[in-house]
Order: sequence, then C-alpha cells, then structure tokens
Amino acid sequence: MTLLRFSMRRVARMAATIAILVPLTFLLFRAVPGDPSAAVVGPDLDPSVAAMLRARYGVDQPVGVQFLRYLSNLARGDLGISFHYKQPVGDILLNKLFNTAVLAVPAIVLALVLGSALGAFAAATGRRRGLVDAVLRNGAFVGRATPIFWTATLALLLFSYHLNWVPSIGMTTPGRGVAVTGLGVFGSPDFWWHLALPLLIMTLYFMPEPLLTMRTSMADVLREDFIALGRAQGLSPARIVYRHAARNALLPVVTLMPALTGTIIGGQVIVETIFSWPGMGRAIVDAVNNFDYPMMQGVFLLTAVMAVAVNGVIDVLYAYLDPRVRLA
Amino acid sequence: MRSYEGRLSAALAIALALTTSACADGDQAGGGSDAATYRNVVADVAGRTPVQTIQVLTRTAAEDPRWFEQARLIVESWQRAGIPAELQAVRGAEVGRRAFMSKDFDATLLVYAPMADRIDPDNILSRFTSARAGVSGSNISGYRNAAYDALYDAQQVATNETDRVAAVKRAQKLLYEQQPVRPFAYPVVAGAYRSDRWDGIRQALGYPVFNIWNSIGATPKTGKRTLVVGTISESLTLNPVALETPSAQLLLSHIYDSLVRIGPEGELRDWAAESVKVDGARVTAKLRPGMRFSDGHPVTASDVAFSVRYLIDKKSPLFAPKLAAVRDVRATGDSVEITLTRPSQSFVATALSQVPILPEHIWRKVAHPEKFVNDNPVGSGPFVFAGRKLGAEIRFTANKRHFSAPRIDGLVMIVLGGFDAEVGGLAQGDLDMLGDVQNVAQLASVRGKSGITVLSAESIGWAGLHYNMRKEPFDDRHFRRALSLLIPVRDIIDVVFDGQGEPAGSPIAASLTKWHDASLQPFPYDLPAAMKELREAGYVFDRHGVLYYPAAREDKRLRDNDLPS
Repeated sequence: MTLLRFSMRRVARMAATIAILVPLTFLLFRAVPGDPSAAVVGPDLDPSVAAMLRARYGVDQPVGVQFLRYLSNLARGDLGISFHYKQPVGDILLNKLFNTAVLAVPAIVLALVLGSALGAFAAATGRRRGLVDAVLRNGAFVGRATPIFWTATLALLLFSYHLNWVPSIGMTTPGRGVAVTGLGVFGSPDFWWHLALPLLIMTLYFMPEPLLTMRTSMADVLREDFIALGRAQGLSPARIVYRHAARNALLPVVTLMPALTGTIIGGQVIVETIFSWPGMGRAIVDAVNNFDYPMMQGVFLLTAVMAVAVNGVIDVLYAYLDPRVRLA
Repeated sequence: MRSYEGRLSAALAIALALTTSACADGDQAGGGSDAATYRNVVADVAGRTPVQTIQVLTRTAAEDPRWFEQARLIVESWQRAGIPAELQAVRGAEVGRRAFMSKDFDATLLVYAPMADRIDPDNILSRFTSARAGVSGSNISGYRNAAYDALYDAQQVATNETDRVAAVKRAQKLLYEQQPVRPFAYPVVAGAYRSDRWDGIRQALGYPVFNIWNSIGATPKTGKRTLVVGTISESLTLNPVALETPSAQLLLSHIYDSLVRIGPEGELRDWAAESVKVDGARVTAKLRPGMRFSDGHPVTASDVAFSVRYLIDKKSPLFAPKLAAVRDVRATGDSVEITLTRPSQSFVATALSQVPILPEHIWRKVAHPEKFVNDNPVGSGPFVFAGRKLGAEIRFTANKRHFSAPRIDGLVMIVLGGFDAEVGGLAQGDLDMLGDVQNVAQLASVRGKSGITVLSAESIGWAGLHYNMRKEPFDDRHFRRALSLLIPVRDIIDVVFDGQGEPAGSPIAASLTKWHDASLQPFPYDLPAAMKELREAGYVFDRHGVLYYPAAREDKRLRDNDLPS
C-alpha cells in the first residue's frame, strides 16, 4: 500500500470516529442529572426566572429536537452561544485555545526533546555509571508518581510567594497599559516571566514518560547486533548512541504521543487553575460546574478532534518511519 | 472553582480545628446517655409512626468544605439527641435546584451573601410570603401564614419609616417564634487592600472593600494611578439585560448609573436622580442635568423610562423580577414617573438602586438582547469600559466628566483561579485590592502584614437552615423549634468560621441596625428545651431511642401554615 493510500484510509477512519463522537459529546452531558438554570438560580436570583431561562437556553425542548438543532448549527460551523458567557462558544474557544497552546506546546516539545535525550543518556551510561542512570530513572519515577497539583502548589509557594522570583498569576502583569495579543506575546519579556514557572512544572510533569520509554527502548537497541558491529568498526560511543541507536529507539517515543493526550489535558486543567492561566483547562472546569452545555460540547468536541488528529498524524508518521505498518 | 490548594488548606484547617475543638466543645453536644435523660420515653408505641430520617441538604466537601462542615455538625448534633438525620451532600447547582426549583428537600443549608439589595429588609422578608411559596417561588420554606403576609404588606405600604420599622420588627419576631428558617450565624466577612499605595478606602456595608464608593474614592499614594482588583468570579457578560449573576452586577454598576445608589452606610443616596419622591404607588424621579453617556449622547428621562420598560419586556433575569410591581412608566421633561401596582416602600431601595440606565439609542435596535454580546458597553457611569481579555482581565478608564468622578485614572479586574491565588496576589503586590468578599478567616495570611489593610464587618447576610414546611414533621412549630435548639451554633462558628462570626437570632442581620430586632436572642444549644418542645407536641421515643410522631389522641402539634397551598 502506498503512503498516500494509507493516509487517505486513515483520514476516512478519523472522520468516522468524529461522526461517532459528535452525538456522544452531546448525549453524555445530557445524561448527567442537572439543569443549567439551577446553576444560576439561588438566593440571589429569583427562581421565577428559571422557566424563562430554560426556554432561552433551548433546554425545555425534547432532547431529540435539541440534538437536531445542535447538528444543524454544527454543520454551519456554529457551536452555539455559551449559557454562561453569553458569547459564541467558537470565539471563546479560539481565545482559550491560543492561551493553552502557548503553554502546552512548548511544554510538550521540551518534554519530548529533553525526555528522549535524558532517556538515551541514562541507557547509554547505564552499565558504566550506574549512579547517573539510577538518579534519572528514580527521578522519573518520583516525577510520575507526584500529583501535579502538589508540585505546582509547592513551586508557586517557593518561587513566587517566598522567593518572589516569578509572578503568581496570569499570563501578563495586570494593568500594564495595552495588553499584548496574538503571537505578539512571545515578544514580551513580561509574558516569558509569567510563563517560566508553569512551563517548568508542565515540562517536568510530561517528561517522565518519554524519558522512561526512551531509556527502555534505547537499552534494547543497544543490545542489537548492528550496535556491536558499529563498535567493532571502531565508531565513537557518542556516534553509536546518538546517530545510530537513538534513531531506532525513538519509534516507541513517537507512539507515546497519543497516549500522553490524557495526561496533558489533566495536567493542563490543574496547572491553569493554580496559576490562574486563562486557557482551555479552566474553561473545561467552569463549563462542567455551570452546566454550560454549548461550552462543554464545544470544549470536548475540540479536545476529541485534536486527540483524533494527533493520533492520525502519528499513525501516518509511523507508517512513514516504519514501512511495515502500511502493510499490516 | 476553588483551587486545589484552597481545598487542601481548607480541609486541613477544618480537620485541625475539629481535633482541637473536640474536647472543648464536649459540653455543648452531650453524649447519648445525656440526651436520653430528657427524652419522653414510652413503653408502648403500637399504632404510632416513626419519624423518618431527615435529609439535610448541603454542598459536597470537595466543592465547599465550609458548607459541608456546617451541615455535618448539625446532623451529628441531631443524631446525638435521638433525631434521625443524615447528610445529603450534592453539588451546589443541585442544592439550588432542589431548594429553589423543585422544593424537593427536608432541610437545607443556605448562605445569604451580603448583596447590596439585602440592605433593605424587603429582600429577606419577601422570601416568607405565601405569594412566593409556590414551587417556583423564593419562599423555599413554604411558609404560608396570614398574619405574616399582613405584616409584610404593612411594611410595604407604610407611609412613614417609624411604621415601616415597627412592621418589619413584628414580621421578624413572627419568623423567630415560628422558625420556618433558623438563621444561625452572621459571619464576619472581609476584604483587603494595599494601604501602602491607596488612601480614601472606607469600610462599607455589604461588600466592605470592593464597592463603587471605594472605586470612586480611592486616592493614589504612589505614582500608580490604576487600581488593580482581583476576583475569582469572572463577570461573564457585560450585558446587563442578559445578566444572571449579581456578582457581575457590582462591576456593571461601574459602567452604568442608576437613579439612586445605596451608600456605604446603607443609606439611600440620590445619584442620577436629583430627587426621588414616593407618593403611595407613584414614584417620581427628577434627573440630574448635564449627564452624558460615554459615546457623548446626553442622558435623558426618556432613556430611564426606556430602560425600565426594556428590562421588563425583555425579561431580564436579574432586573425584571425587581420591576415586577411596575404598572406604567413615562418620561415628562427631565422627570420619570413610575406607577406601581400597589404602594411599595422598598421599590426605590431594591429596584431603582440596581436598575441600570441604558442608552436608548443603542438598545432600541437590539431585538434579542439575550444574543447581544455588548462587547463595548456604553453607559454614563463613573467608569468607561476600555477592553477585556476573556478569563484574564477587564479594563476601565475613569470617566473624569462624571458628576462623581473617580480620583484614579483606571481600574483593572483580574480573574484568578482561586481565592488563595487572589490573597497571594495581594501579598505579592500584583493586586491592589480583593474584589471578593470572604469569611475573614480566609484572610489570616495577610492580616497584620505591613502595607495591607484588612477591613472586616459582620455580614448583612447569614448562614442558616431552611425547613421545608410543606411536609411532616416540619409543618409543626414544636418540631422546628426543637431542631433549631439543637443546632450547635458555637461549634459551627468556632470550627467552620474560625471564631469569626456571631450567633444569629433574626433573619434581618444585626448589622442592619435600623431594621434588626435586637430583642430576639439567638436560640442557644439547649437539649432539655428541645426535648420539652417535642414532649409538648406529643412526640415520643421508644426504649431503643426511636422517635415517633404523636398518637392521634395526644397530638398537640402546631401548624403555623394557616393558608391553603
């Protein structure tokens, strides 16, 4: 099978997956007992308006009607109006997605690059200097076992409240005149200063998986005949490890990416809440707490589409790296 | 959502407080054998029905440890006294649904926040009128008492303040005696600000620190002329017509003027109106001359009349219920005349102090305000909207042409992930002021810190327990009073509020000195008195400690609901 045909088939499967996901994201939240008007009615809002609110939100209609309306809107690219924000869900998500991306993408890239390099290093030094390997391996285990809300809170306490090295809240310093928007944030030192700590925490949180995977995979590769051959040919150890072995050992790390998606979303929710980062993670929490159906549907659909897309891209990439996959 | 650190620290604090207070409070919540000595025990309970287990509705410990702990202390106290009870911990939205919408509960914990419109007693008193006792009404206790309704109406139509105060006091006395609700604590609430940077901040009733008066009055001590305020509850919409949450209303009141405002001491102040006259069911307001909207258009009486009509017609969730009594509104020259369906002494304080003056030339064209984002709100208020980043910040510049112009150049609200982050931001200097009002115990870490001033005051709201009088055994005054006498108020205040609060007697808070009836002593924890109430009504315990309803021949229960449902 050619790579093109493989890719086409993969895309078709992705489309099918999303077609199943759309009704799921809709129905799952309708199955949760709760009422969006109950999220606002209480001691401070007269309960007599509840019925009017339900009509305004469209949740007084039968679920079937609501679903059809949702589908027809979705087909036109309209994700609806958030109950909570009273703004189009698409606009809110775009804004929040960007904020999340500027934190998550660098963290993932850093974690993969550093994790793979350190994993390779640990495996390569394993036999000779057991200490380095032990420190890296155990460090990764401790990192993976530590809940991120704990590390993030401690880091915030230490670096922000006690040492006062970095700010504790948000993406930029409040009230600094004109707020920088779009990719312009990367040109602002103030943004980098705010990014430093959450980025560090996220990177450390994502890193153990690629590190440990790379270490194991590398150790396997290093036992292969072709490595011994290289040694016999008199190649330098660094050249063997980083040119020949690492390339082969990277495949399992690439496969790891889709599996990491869950970890990334979970970590993002917590880190954004602790650092008051205005991204998708906090939007998820707010949407669920407020029974904001359009927002929940939007957030989960977007997350699902991204996860499916990442999986698809990785599959194609994998097929490119390892031609055997295409034949399977 | 509260941050994890917030939850953790709150849970730890409560755990610690519980361990330390367990010994000290032993005397208040006596052991089982102690309770047994006061019980009316009979040998033969044949033909009697046991009292079913009372479900006490509250929020989950994960969502709100303070709510949960208050309910837990109450349930354990009832259980020790032999009254079958258990916790029913659900999500906050579910508490709201059951208490306010389906009325599907036995007893529910509720906290009334110190909102500005609670400064007038009408907000609380209206919650016990039979007109609102229906399934979608705000009278969640389901209290239907003709004498109470008459007193409520009397305070509404009173022609002078003395009469109104007298009626309000008699109404609260009735609530105190009959206990459709047990308000048990007035918590001490607080806010804080950087006093090393700002002068002119005065404590106010309601929200002690962040309020319109301090936004106007704040005077810079340093070169910093923009006030940065933190908040955990983002103002979700800037559209006052679609607005549902009163917390956002405070922010919108910076952009939009109202005819009157409630002053820092709870007094009514003329604001956009030069004068307001109430004559029976007719309210006449004369507009202050020379006001302009931020787009340059003059503010006219016609804008005011339009706003009232528009908010009613478009069913504004927050304002339409406040304007329900409006029959007609018309503008003549620089005056607005509002005719009500019946005289109301509270209309000016509860409605006109809140209702925003909208620019007619903009909203006239908005047919579906619920779909209108209003991302560039135009108002005539002391602050002008300057921009917002969703989930991050919202910026205002001072309206220097306003008749009560702020002394600062601008104001920025910052949205934070949790209250601990907010307090940390103030300590760090990232924030100048806390925009949220919390129990003062939450501010322990910044109290006494140099450069920071904490202002605290007893809340004008309260924490309490509503009984659902629509069902047995809560339809009986004796039973409700027995339950109320078994609420371990001191324990709750010490453990949950860190000692920062006062036991409550009346649903009209003690800090509302004009209206509060100080003669209504808070119910103490009193096991013998509670057992006496049960005995008087005819409830009995069997030898195993099970509580039974009175037998028909000795039924002395008191039904206070004398109106049909």
